[in-house]
Amino acid sequence: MTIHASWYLTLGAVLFTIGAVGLLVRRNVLVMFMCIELMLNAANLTFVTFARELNDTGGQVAVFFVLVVAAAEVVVGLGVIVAIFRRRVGATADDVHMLKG
Amino acid sequence: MGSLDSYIPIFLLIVLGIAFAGLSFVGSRLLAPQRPTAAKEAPYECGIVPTHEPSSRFPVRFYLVAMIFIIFDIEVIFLFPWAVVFRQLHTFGLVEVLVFAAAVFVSFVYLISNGALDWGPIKRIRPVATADEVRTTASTVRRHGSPGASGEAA
Amino acid sequence: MKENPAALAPELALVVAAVVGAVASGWLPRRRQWAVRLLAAGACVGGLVATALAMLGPPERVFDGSYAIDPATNAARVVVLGAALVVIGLSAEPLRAHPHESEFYVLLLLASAGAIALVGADDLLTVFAAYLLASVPSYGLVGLLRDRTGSEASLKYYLLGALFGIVMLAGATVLVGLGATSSYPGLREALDSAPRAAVAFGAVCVTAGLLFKIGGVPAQFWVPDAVDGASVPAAAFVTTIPKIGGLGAAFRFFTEALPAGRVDWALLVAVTAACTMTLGNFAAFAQTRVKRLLAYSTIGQVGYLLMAVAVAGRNGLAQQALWYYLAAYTVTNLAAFAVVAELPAARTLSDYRGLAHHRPLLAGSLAVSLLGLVGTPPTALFVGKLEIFTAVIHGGYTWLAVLAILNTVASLYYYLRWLVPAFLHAPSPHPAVLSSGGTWSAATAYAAATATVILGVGAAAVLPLGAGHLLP
Repeated sequence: MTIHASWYLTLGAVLFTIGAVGLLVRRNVLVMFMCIELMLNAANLTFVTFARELNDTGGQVAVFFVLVVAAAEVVVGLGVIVAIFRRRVGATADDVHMLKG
Repeated sequence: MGSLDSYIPIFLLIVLGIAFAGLSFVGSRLLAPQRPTAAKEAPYECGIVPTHEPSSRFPVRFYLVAMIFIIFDIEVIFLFPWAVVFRQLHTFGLVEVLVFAAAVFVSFVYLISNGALDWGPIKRIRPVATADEVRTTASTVRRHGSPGASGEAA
Repeated sequence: MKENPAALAPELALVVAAVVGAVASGWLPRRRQWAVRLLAAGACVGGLVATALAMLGPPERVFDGSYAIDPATNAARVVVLGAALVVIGLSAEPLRAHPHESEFYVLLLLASAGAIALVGADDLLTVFAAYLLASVPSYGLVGLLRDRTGSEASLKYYLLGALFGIVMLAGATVLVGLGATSSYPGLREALDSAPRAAVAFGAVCVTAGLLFKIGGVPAQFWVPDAVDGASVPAAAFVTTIPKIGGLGAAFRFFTEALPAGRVDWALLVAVTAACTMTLGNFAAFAQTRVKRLLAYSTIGQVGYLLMAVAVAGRNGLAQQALWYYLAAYTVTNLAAFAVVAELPAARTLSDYRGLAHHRPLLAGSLAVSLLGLVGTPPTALFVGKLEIFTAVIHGGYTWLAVLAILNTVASLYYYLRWLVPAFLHAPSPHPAVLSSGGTWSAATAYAAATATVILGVGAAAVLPLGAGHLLP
């Protein structure tokens, strides 16, 4: 029995939406990072599905790209968080309120 | 001038999304019973009111090690596809990978030279927050260290 | 397949200098970090020379068609490298002997290389990689000084950038799935028969990512916070160089990747441009801090630049207008930031009271740059605005041009709010507010202001450099 590609694409869309909603509603910066990872992996799943459907390895190469992206973004994000952690107690996005206007 | 026909599905989706979210809020506001009490609005329903934030579980240094790990993690990811086809790529592929590995290694050299791996006693930059002298519900329920916490307690 | 690393000489010069600088920064004593600054400036000059040589050659696609070297890429190289040189000039004093001075130049070089790569990329995946190369060092630049506002600005910039980056990636997956290829010419052919709604979705998502780089509505939220929280050199950087990359990439994406008549992207960009310029200009009215005012002013300027993207491909004027305006905007905006860098203690508009009395030459530079941003003759942006308005009216968007003219008139108000106290009011009782930052930033301010005027007067000679067809 084979699973039709549309199921993978739907799963990808659902994961992406969960990540996007999480990024927008959660206040803990670390959880926000996890949501970013979730969205990136949703994109990965979509790329792999297309690669299988179209018989094209390009999609799998794209996954390598996205993995690097995920690593680079998370490292920078952690760096920023560490810089903020060192100065204040918690790390929630609500604590970040000095710049307004 | 063209038409916006092709954007109609996207536009409809946005409208539907906003309408759904908005209606959920309005619906819950209208339907839910509202009998607030002071106890219900407190962040903790039972137990003693916390005096200061629990200290974070990991020292910041662990994050640093995680970041350094990711550099090599990523390097290996790129070595796998290269290893599959390196016979076809000949010298070009070898040179490319060496350049890539050298560039990754430079970041490691940078980390070492900046003392990222020097383990030692941790210098505490901010002092541990302690409880206020005057403790009321209003002052201790609020987060310590947030501006105005003690000012509003008075 | 064409693999000629020499074709990428300007980009490689930046990246190699960045790598060398990163290694050197670990071993150089704090007082000797000027060596890295010299290295960065040398890389920019070397890149400019390589670009001049590349301009003589024919346009070509390199690396399996994923990177185009054509007039647009060369124009981007010139503008980005020139802008990087000016940023290096104005950051000499604010960063002197700072513990992270070398890192600033390293990140600056990497982000500049990313901005150039954004323009040259001829493939959705290359565009995405370039987006990251331009973005990730920028987050670092904004938070480099490690003070509270800097890290906060960096976090906001980063979170928004990550969100829009993923949205762009999602759009790219949809387009790649529809077209079974990621190269622009291939997509243009394949998308002609794809479902319109799906193509529109993919195009909107990719545009959203580029709009983040550009700082246009609805991705403009980071601009004021990042500019206000960052150091002056970093602020000068994020308001100019990433925008060059984003606008060039958007221009190429719309003209090369999307089939004509399949989705009406032009109207979408026109509406975005209208919202961006109006929001930027009106939000600037209420600002009292100079960096925030400049931040909103750049949002307004980006609105004018997006007008040129809206009429991309309709006539030959659009491309020439875009690149001339970008060059003019970059040098004028950097002149304003150089004045801000020269007066590190003056943070609000009222701090500039009586500047003309203390420092007539610096006040003159400020006047040239701010009036230049309005578009007063004979500065470069006057010619730039004329070019863009002409292109837009020829492209059939007269309403947009009218709106832009109204916006230009309105923008005069907040630039004058800054200039009038500087020239007409009595000097402030605290002259320490106007203390000098140093010779380098002052010299940069004078040079950039002069360049604004020269670029305006010599427009006839410079304009054709931005023209020339993109590769089909």
